[in-house]
Amino acid sequence: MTNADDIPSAAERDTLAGLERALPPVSPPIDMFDRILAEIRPEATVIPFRGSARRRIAVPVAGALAAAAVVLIAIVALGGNRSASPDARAAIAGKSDPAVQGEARLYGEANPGGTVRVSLRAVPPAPSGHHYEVWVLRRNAGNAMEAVGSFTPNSHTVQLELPLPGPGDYAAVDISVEENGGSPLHSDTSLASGLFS
Amino acid sequence: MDETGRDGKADLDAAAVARVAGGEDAALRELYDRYGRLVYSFAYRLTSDPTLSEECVQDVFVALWRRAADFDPTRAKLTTWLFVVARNRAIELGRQKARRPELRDDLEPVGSAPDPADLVAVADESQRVAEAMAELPEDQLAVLRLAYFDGLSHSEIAEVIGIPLGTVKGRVRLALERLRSLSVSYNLQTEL
Repeated sequence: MTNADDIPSAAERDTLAGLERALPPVSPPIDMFDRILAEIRPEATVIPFRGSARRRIAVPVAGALAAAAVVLIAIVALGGNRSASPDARAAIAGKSDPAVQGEARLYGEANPGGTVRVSLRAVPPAPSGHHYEVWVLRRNAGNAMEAVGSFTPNSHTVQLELPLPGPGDYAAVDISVEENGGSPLHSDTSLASGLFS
Repeated sequence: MDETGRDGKADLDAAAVARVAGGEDAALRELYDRYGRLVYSFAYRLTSDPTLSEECVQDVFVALWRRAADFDPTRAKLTTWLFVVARNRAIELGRQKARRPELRDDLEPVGSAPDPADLVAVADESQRVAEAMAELPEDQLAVLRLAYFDGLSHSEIAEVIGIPLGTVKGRVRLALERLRSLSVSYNLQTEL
């Protein structure tokens, strides 16, 4: 509003000053509506791993083995109490794809029924014949990452809520690239990861 | 405009909400484009936190999506509904933030929690300004959104919208004049 061709009158300046006091001239991020869409429309085909279906496997965090997973179709609706405060948050940064960004939040990690909510932006389509898998790592658990669910994104924005393996103190979250029908171990190809604090 | 404050714009909003209730996310996009920046700015005024403001905007439009079928345009304007929901959520998020300042290293220092009475006064004032702005005719609100929230020059707006520069200037001027007159009818303490 202050460019050379936009010089406002005194009255307009007064109006703008009053406006700025009440409504700061700030804008939401450009992907804001994508995030809204992600919440109202399931953006990913998700497989939450629950109970006996969960794979508890010891792999080096940075180590790699071929992965496998049966791709089932399931939808996880975002539920729970979104207004509750998370126990911990992790900023997620891209690894194999630096553009990926996001956040993970832990809810009720010390109790049965705890969940991890993962929000990702700029997620590329999974490579042909592959899907993504979400892993968590407990503190003092060495490199024993635990898979909590897998997903195939339908858009660049993904929001997931997945059950935690059990009560614990979680240190990290990782999203790996896994081959459909491959080994249940971490592929060592990490799309993105983050540390809880 | 009738006694409920309905006018052409309210009818436009009501029609879009009806489409949202029918599951049309393009209609939600239309309403987000129209009011999303206003809701974000309003939330930012109450929380002083971009992350919480984003969460507030997301919650408001998700709530609109889920409760669109219950919206009765004969009882209230959509903009009133949006800002009431935003106000309640922003205040709730602000209080949560005050209780958990240590959880995020990347957030600004919280300092002392705002006095609830002050926060309510700020919310009242900002809500009235936001509703006044939302009441602008769509062509005026569109140029004001781009100029004020996005910081575009009049020339850039002319290029973006595809209208003559003189028309942009005229619409901005009319928008500011109308906002100033609306501030009187809204009994704003903030001098617009």
